Amino acid sequence: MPYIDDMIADKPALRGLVNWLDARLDIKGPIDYQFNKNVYAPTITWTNCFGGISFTLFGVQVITGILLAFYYQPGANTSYESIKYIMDTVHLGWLIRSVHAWSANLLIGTVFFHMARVYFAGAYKPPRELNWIIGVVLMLLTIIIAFTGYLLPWDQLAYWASQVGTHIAGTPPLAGPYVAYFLKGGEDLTTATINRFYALHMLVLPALIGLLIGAHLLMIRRQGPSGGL
Amino acid sequence: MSDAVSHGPEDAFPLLPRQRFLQKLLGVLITIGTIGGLIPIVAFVWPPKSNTQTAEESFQPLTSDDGKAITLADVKAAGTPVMGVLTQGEKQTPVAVIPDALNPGWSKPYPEVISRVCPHLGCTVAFRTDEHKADDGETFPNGFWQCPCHRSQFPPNGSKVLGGPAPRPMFVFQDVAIAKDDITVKGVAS
Repeated sequence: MPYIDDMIADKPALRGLVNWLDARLDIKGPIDYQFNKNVYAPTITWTNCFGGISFTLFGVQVITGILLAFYYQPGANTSYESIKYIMDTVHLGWLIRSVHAWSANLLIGTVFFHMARVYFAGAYKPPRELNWIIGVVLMLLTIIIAFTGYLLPWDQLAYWASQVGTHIAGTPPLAGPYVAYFLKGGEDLTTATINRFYALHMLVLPALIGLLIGAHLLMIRRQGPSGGL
Repeated sequence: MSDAVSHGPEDAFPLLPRQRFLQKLLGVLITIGTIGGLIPIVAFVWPPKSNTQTAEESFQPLTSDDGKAITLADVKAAGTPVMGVLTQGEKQTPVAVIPDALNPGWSKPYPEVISRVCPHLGCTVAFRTDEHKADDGETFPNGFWQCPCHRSQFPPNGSKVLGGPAPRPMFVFQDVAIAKDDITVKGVAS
């Protein structure tokens, strides 16, 4: 990547804007540094791409998820109808919803490949233990966000999968029944369940995952890649 | 890894013509990709015309299985609910018209029209005349509604759940009008 000054040398209008920003924020140096940093050559292999692919898929999920929220109506009487509306009536609604569903499936796969790569390359070893821990939390949050999203269409598959899932959550001794009661928002799967799953799926979990991805990336940038075996 | 960014003249290679061409090509591809990504997003967000709802927003006649319109006279002569179909565009909903004789407390000028779609999982509920006693002990000399799938039971006017897994009573159409002698309905059963 060329340096900023070389890129804007023959573009006077852009140069004025960039220099104006640089005079106030001092940004040229850090950006040049980040984009021209040498990468340790043995780490440039296709197996090291799965973290980036997961990040890209998360971005796809955020965009398509925001779009779906334009039309989705949580509730036992409205969820399925609004999904049908998205699939049949909204322009390209089938595309946006299918991309959301498929990239959710892919995301689970790429996250697991990423974890396996880091494990077998020993990249979790000191000084990168903290990043491994954050990665494990991210994987669990990814599974939870997939589970909460599964209920939202409120079709037969969604209903029974969530019935089974919340039942499993209720099996551990002592705390189990309370966890299941909390997840379902009552004794049964109802509108209350859809609403709390929806709140978790579109507000709480994405915010948490976004924050942790930020920390994940800052750490890899600060510590550098581990350099393979 | 060098911390300092060197900006010496040794960095300032003039680009070869083919490198400039590839840079331009990359720019064009990125632009096409961005536009190609934005088009579906804008199309999705743009509100679709709701032309599918017009069939449900106007009164549609009820027809019996042989395709004839159900008239007020048919209902008055019947001793059990009159089965029919409500056709709204491509959508068909099985419905039933309840004779006033089976519907104590009904005071409107038209007979009650209910949807025969079971509020449990959507099977078509059947009217049983061979049974008279529902699960909760109530008796109906003319019979009552029972879903063939999971045995949800309703009284002849569908106003409550007598037994089975149904979460709520049968749907009652609120907008019913008599056109000449035909019974017409508008609205969406839920």
